[in-house]
Amino acid sequence: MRELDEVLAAGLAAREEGMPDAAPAGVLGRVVGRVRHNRARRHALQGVTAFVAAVVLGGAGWWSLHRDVPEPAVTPEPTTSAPTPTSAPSPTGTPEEPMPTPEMVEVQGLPSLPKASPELVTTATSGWVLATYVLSDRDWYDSPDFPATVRTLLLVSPDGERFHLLDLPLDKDVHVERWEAGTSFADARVYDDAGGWVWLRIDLLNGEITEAGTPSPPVETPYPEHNLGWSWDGRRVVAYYDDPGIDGYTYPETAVYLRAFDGTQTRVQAVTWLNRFGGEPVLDPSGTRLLF
Amino acid sequence: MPGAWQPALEQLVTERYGRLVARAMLLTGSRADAEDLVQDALVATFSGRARFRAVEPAEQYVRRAMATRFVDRTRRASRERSALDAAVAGSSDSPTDDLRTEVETAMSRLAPRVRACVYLRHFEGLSVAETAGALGISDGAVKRYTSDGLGELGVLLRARWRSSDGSVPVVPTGEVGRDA
Repeated sequence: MRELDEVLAAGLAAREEGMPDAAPAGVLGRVVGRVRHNRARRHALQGVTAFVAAVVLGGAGWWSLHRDVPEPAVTPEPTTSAPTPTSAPSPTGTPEEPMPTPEMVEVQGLPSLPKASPELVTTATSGWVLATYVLSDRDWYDSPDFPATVRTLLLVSPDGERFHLLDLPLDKDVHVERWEAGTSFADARVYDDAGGWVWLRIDLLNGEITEAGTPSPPVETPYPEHNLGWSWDGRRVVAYYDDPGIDGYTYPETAVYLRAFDGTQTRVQAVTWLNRFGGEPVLDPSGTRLLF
Repeated sequence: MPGAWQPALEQLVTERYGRLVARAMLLTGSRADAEDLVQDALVATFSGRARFRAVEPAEQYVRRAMATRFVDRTRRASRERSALDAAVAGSSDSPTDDLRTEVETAMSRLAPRVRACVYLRHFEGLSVAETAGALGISDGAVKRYTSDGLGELGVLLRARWRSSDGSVPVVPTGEVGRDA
């Protein structure tokens, strides 16, 4: 009589031998599209995520919502790759200082934009935001590299009036993450070729982009970190999977860290079951709580 | 713009898709269903926070996700249709029947949850506790389903299987294909 182990192994091997390695044409695009859709939907739902647990960051208590926390980051990204017609800009919402007639800048796909002056940047108040305008002649679906023909940073008033701030590198996928209205710099990140990213600081007055912060000691995990946002006190909030080991079927632990610009980082929370449900911690806009 | 998760996903789909489908066919019995299952598992794995630097752990997750999603599917199917075995386990008049290997045919005769236990324990090498965690059932249930499943496979494939304690399970043929 045959041994069952050998029969089962031979059956699987026979099936595998008859299979081509690669998926049929179109499968990759469909799967990537579905993943992108799901991830985008999940991020869009962050604001209405039902919270099972909440973690208070940096030792701040529940009362912290009542304290005078900094304005949350308001830098939507990425913006549309297709231009939309706009009405004539309204002068309302601009700083009170009278401004000279601004220089106009031509940006492909947009109406002529007034150039943002340094004074406009440094006197902007709450409600002004930065927006990245990206134009590409190809869709990400067809081109994973997403080559941009235009990648421009705009300053937008509370009424939607757009100003040209600076042009970002076309060959770098720069994501602006944080800007506090009235400051002259923005924090950003850029993806590297290995699929990770580095943190950047953009000087909004001269367009200079530099790497920001002291690298923290790497966390021992094979998975890259996930940037969740910024804590109320200006530290980055990142999460890692802890390595479950390839041989085991233990779901990885999701560990959340606070990372300061000086390179120090603090482990504040770990949850084991998150990945099972495809969950991801969500940082509330005030930067004080994590919702799971 | 490419996400950090994309390289591992692309590598899986371009280099290991066939192997994933081959394993999924142990669960579904048909190639079309297996492809659907693989794609669902890929989407589920990478829609979360998975950004695997290496393709091996990503493949491990997908292979295990196939089993959990297979069981989820059968649960949904059981709510929607009373004839669970005919709908999920595959019927004898399936047009793909003649293309199945004998192992796939035998696996398709197992109840879905039994099949998932055998798949995870035997083909993926998971421990009892790991299998229980993946499928959301008790350790005892895993042991029972796995023992029953391998015993049934032994009968169907006319092969000998010895459990860890050396005993040879005796499975009445009348129980073959029962629902779990």
